[in-house]
Amino acid sequence: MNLAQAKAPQASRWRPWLNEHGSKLLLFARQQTRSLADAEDVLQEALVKLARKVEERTFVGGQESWLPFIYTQIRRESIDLGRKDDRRKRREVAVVDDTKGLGGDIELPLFENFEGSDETKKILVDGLKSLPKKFSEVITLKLWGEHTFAEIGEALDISLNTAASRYRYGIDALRKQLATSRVNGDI
Amino acid sequence: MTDQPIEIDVQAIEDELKQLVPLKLSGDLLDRLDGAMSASQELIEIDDPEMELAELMPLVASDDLLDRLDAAMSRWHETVPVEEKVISLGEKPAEQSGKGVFLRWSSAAAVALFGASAALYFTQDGSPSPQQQRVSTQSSVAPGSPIALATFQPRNASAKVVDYHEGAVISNGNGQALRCVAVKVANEVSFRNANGEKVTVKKPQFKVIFVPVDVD
Repeated sequence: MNLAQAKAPQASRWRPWLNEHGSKLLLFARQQTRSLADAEDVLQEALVKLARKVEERTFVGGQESWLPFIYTQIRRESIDLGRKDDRRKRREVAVVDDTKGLGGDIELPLFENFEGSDETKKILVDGLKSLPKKFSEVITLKLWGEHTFAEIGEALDISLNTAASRYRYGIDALRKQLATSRVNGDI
Repeated sequence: MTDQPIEIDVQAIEDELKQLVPLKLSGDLLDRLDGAMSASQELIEIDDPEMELAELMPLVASDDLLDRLDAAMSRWHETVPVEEKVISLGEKPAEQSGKGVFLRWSSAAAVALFGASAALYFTQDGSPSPQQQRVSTQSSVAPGSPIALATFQPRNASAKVVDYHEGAVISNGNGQALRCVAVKVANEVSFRNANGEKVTVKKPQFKVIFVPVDVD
């Protein structure tokens, strides 16, 4: 056994599940927060709460219920973090303008091989970022979380119909942005 | 000259008109229209945001991040939920009787005393016992490091006011009235390791404190 192997933490029983779902959970967390560091923190908090409930046998439902729980938890943690951050910024605003401080996000891509994508995809991803969160989060859960509208509704505390209509509104808004870009000759 | 009525047979006119054949489209115009219609179809196919977006794959979470998340989930028991960190002193407003107000203050005093005594316990004389060393080592473990499960971890802590005596009310010189209170507190901290072994440390304390009081 070499030194690197000796130092590497031993994978737990959670690891296969994390390998399968970690990327899409991080994508959702990044969408809900203001920086990558915040997203990772929020994701970790949510996962620890899941582990606690499962280990203490207080989690209601089987493994198929873990994802809806995590998505709900990520959203709650993000809202809490956003409130704390807002309060902190209000306190600090008189001292220093930290909008460009260490807490600012580094513009990392959200998707694999995104730099090589065509212009249409870049416009769509920019459009997705500029959409109101209530639309973009439903699109994210539907397309990359592979959830049904019923599952999305459960995760976001909204009805199935609301989830479906937000998805349609979001997609229509993206379609209009594409059409505008085409008229402007951007693509 | 007499005007003769012109009898127009509508049907005949229609028949005549039907025999007219519209001018054929020129080859150029036909090509142009054909091209426009095909392009229009292509536009419809391309402008499907769902298909375009679905081709994108979320950025793969790094192994380092997955390691950290995995470790955090495995050490869930070491994380104290935020809601358990808050010590409630009673959400409802206390009764305005002297006794109720005093009990609230005595609770606060007990918590403060317990904090002070815990700090004293863990820092006294600069030579911690082996038990203390284990606890302090545990608290300084780096996030990614493996945890030795044999170490004792604090499980419960309590501070109970077992006796108190009210003294006289004095002034601090700034117009603030203070009541002299002697409080006897029973502090107790219990530790447990992965083998289920339990260690309880009891630390009784007697202290005189001054509690601000409202004076009409």
